[in-house]
Amino acid sequence: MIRYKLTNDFGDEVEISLDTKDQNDFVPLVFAGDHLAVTDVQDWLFQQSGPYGHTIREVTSPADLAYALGTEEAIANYNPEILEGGKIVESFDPGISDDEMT
Amino acid sequence: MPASAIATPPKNKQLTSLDAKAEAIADPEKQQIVNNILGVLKSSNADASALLSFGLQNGKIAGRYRAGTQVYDYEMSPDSIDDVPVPEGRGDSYLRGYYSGFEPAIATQSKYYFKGWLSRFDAKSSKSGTGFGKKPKCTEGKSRLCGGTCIPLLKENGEPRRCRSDPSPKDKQTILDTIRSLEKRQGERSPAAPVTTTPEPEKPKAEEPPPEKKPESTPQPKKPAHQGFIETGDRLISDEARQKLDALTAPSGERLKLAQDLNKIKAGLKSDKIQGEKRKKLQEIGRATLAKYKELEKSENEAAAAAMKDIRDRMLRESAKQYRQKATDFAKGINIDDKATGENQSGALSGPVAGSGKAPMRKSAAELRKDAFEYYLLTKGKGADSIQNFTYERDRASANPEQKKVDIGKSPTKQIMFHEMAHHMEYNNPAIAAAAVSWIQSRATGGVQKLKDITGNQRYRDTEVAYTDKFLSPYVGKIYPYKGTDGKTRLRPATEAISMGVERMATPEDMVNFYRQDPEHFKFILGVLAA
Repeated sequence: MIRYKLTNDFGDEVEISLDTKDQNDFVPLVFAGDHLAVTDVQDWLFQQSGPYGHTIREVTSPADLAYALGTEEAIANYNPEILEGGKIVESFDPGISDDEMT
Repeated sequence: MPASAIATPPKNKQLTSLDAKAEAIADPEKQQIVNNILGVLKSSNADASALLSFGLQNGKIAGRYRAGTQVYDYEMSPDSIDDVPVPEGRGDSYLRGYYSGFEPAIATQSKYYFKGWLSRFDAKSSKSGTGFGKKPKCTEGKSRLCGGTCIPLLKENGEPRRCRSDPSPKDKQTILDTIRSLEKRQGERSPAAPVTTTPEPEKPKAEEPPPEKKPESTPQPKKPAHQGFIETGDRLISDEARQKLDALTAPSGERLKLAQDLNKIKAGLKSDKIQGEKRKKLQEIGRATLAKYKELEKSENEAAAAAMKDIRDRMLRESAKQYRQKATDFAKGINIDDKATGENQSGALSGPVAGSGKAPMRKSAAELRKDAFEYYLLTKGKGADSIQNFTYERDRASANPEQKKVDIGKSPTKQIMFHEMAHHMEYNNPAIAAAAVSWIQSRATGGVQKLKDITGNQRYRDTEVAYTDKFLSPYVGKIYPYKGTDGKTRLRPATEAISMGVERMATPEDMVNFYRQDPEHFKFILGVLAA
């Protein structure tokens, strides 16, 4: 499990989690928090990309989520804090050979 | 039209003679507009003989101009002119329509404006009794008429193939400047229909002043490989879509005010001076403002998505006319690994499926083939040659054109499927790969750097490098260098610019977001798809 807490400018918190231990495993995103705050985070997050160019959607991987929440924009607007599972994304490895493209 | 021709004295003589023709216009409003245009032309010494007509069509500046012996229909974009030669066979009706407001005698002078063009029309028209048969029929989307023959739209390197009779960029720029100056002076006036100025015949050479230094001696800069695609993409965006997209990217009215209010509130909340009840109150106001903003944004998003759907549907319909059978054969012919579908032997899905909200999305073979079919139609089959196998070997999707496969990964959404299939596009079309690298380089604000340095994200490998710019993601600038057997570093025909772009063409909503994030990238991809 990897779990983040995001806080917007109005002090509202949104929790985002992925129930997996593998950084390249694609599982559904789970959001928790105030409806408006969650909608705002979703509108932004679903336009972001992961470290290998795949857009984040309802189903994503810890590597993609960690990348999106590590950008300057994310930090400025949502101040993400990791609550659980930080070790899953200590390094990125797409797990594919050099002659393939993600 | 050489730039030096703009200020030559005979042009003013031409303008003076145009006054008489303007006086002959029966419609007073039309006459006023022509007089306005002539006034501007005189004061700016512009080449009036080149600008044949000027007016508003569907809210865009459009009309006709002449460059050399060719006549072009033009439509003005914010930074350029899109033009097409007046087609063969339309010359006579053009003349009838065009000169209807003026004295008939001028029709006899028309040959000056169609020199080359009209004679070609006369010579080739079998109906005229003098011709040598019909003009060749070019394949739409692949070739176009150039003189008496069809030429491919693109060269092998992806650059648009020029016809000798095409106007030079300098011609276009001069016309653009003239029209801009007209547009500015016209002010609030908005003629309902295109308005014409009267053209003047070219004077015999003996009456011309000594020619100025030929600007042709200055070589024209070579058009970059990606530019043609961007221009094509731009032309595919309808006025309606452009209007709605502009409203999204540059909010105005109530949404702009709400955005400004939100910024002020956020700035206030970042300050430590506002505490306690005052802070709580401001937070409440912020939430209410955000809710209103989101509501407005949602309705504008929906309007823009509807316009994008029109563009997308039109592309699919046009493509289906020619490629439906090929797309069907392609989709049916892909080998799909059993593991890739999540289906058991009876064909039922073995695990939770899309929309369950509980588990990763898996697709049936039929759903995967449907994505492949749509990809083929949208791209006109680009990359299809090496897309022969769908496998599921690793959770993260990937493409391997050399092995003719797409590893669809654990979550094969349509976007991911399009992304991976689009990697094959560059592999099979070096011209597109070259255009993608050219576009990335044109946008680069610096040299090639490690992705970990660009993003500040130390989790990337040292070998992963990219050009830097404000792309929708730094990964768009990624390139794939490799060392050849001679030890020299070369670039593989692969980028992420095409795949990340094509992925964002999967749905109208994705297209809207894509346009908002990077309009130029959007147009480039739209042009690539249409090519």
